[in-house]
Amino acid sequence: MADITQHVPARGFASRAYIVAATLFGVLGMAAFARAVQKPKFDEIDVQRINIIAPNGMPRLVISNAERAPDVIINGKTYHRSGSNEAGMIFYNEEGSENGGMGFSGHTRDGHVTADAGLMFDQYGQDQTVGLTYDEQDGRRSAGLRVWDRPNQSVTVLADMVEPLKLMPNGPEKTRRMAAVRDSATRLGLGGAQRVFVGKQSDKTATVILADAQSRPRLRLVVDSAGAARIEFLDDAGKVLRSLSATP
Amino acid sequence: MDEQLRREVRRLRRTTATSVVLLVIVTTSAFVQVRLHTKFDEIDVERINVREPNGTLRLTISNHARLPEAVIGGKTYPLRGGSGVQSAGLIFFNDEGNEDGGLVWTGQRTPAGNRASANLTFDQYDQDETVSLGYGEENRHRQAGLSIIDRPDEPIQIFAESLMVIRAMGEGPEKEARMRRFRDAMMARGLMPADRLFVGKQLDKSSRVTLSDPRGRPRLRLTVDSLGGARIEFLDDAGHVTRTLTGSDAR
Repeated sequence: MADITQHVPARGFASRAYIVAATLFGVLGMAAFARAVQKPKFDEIDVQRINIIAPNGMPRLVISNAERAPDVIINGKTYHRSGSNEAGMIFYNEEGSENGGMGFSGHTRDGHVTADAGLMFDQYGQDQTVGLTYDEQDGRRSAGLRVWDRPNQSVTVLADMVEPLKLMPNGPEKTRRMAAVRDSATRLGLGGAQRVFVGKQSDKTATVILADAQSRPRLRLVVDSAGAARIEFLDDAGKVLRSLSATP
Repeated sequence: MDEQLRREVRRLRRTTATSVVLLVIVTTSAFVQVRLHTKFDEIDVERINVREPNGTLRLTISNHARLPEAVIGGKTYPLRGGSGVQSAGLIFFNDEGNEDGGLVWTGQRTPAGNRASANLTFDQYDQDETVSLGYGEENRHRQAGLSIIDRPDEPIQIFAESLMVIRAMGEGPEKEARMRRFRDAMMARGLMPADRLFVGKQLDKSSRVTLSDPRGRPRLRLTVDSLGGARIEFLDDAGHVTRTLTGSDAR
């Protein structure tokens, strides 16, 4: 043993260097790992879906592509969305129920353009009550601010009626039953009413519309596609009662 | 025996050297890898901070527990807590790292019913919100719409500093009196915000467009009330209606 010591003069230095280096990089390695676990830093990330969750695991926000966009979750129950899931963000309240979102889509299929985008805030336990929207169908465009009344009843009352129909195959039977459910929902006051629209419509008018609690426009400011401006008062049947314009 | 030991030592040295080299590579790559473009299918996270290359915070996306406190003039003011509102969402920051808007939402049952709100707000520079799209509800009393607000030219720091002092006081009439004096002083100096435009529905179940003067006084109002009655009103600076237009030609 003593013989070896004499024949390996560099051992002390080399071993110490190895030990120091190994320890140093071991510590660095753990630091890198710990950092990655606690508060990792990225220049850029590619991701299909991000869930922002409360400490108890409840979702507060989902940012995702269309493929991974969540279905509607209300009071812990999942429903299919009217229309299709879109890329964007879905918001959730403290109880984990959806309470708004921002979605966007646009595509040309078989020569037809369909596009839309919207930021929506939902009434508590209900559907959207205020939103900014854009919709386009082959060059027919509308965009603006909308405000809706929603009933006091939970949206789940209506959702539970519609959900089984959404699972039916498309066809006249589905269309008929969907219309029947909408009619009874309207009778029961489950749908809600659009009270305000400010924006442009597909007939190329710029307009401000104030409506009554039954969605009927009662006061309307319009500049039409030809530039003509007027203010109109309407009755509950949609008849213009009075029209004000630049020429009295 | 000696020769065998020597070989053993050499082998050990080679092994150690190799593992040190490997360790260096692995450790370095751990640091390098997280800095690069990274790809995930799905992640769960409580907060995301978007920063400029120099570290300046530009956007946070978070749950309520990790929602950042207000950063004004480079200083953090813990003014958000206390109300019981548990908003989550996005907070925007300007190039200087000061809060300049947000997109937040909250909603929960309360002993009295429920409380909910959601807002997208953009702040005037060094001030509070100047344009806001929002919804608010307390026990089925609801309003929703678009608001445009004038804010004073003075930076909001002076408000925040005073509010911090008042907040620190014990609850009671003295605190309330102090708060009132503060508001009165701000009002006298013309430092209160002024609503300039509202489009939406209000607590009285009317749908409405209101245009106001720089002191926040409604001067032109378009209304469809809860019963469907429509009118356009011109108001003076005392709030009196000076002219009304309705569907009937009279008046």
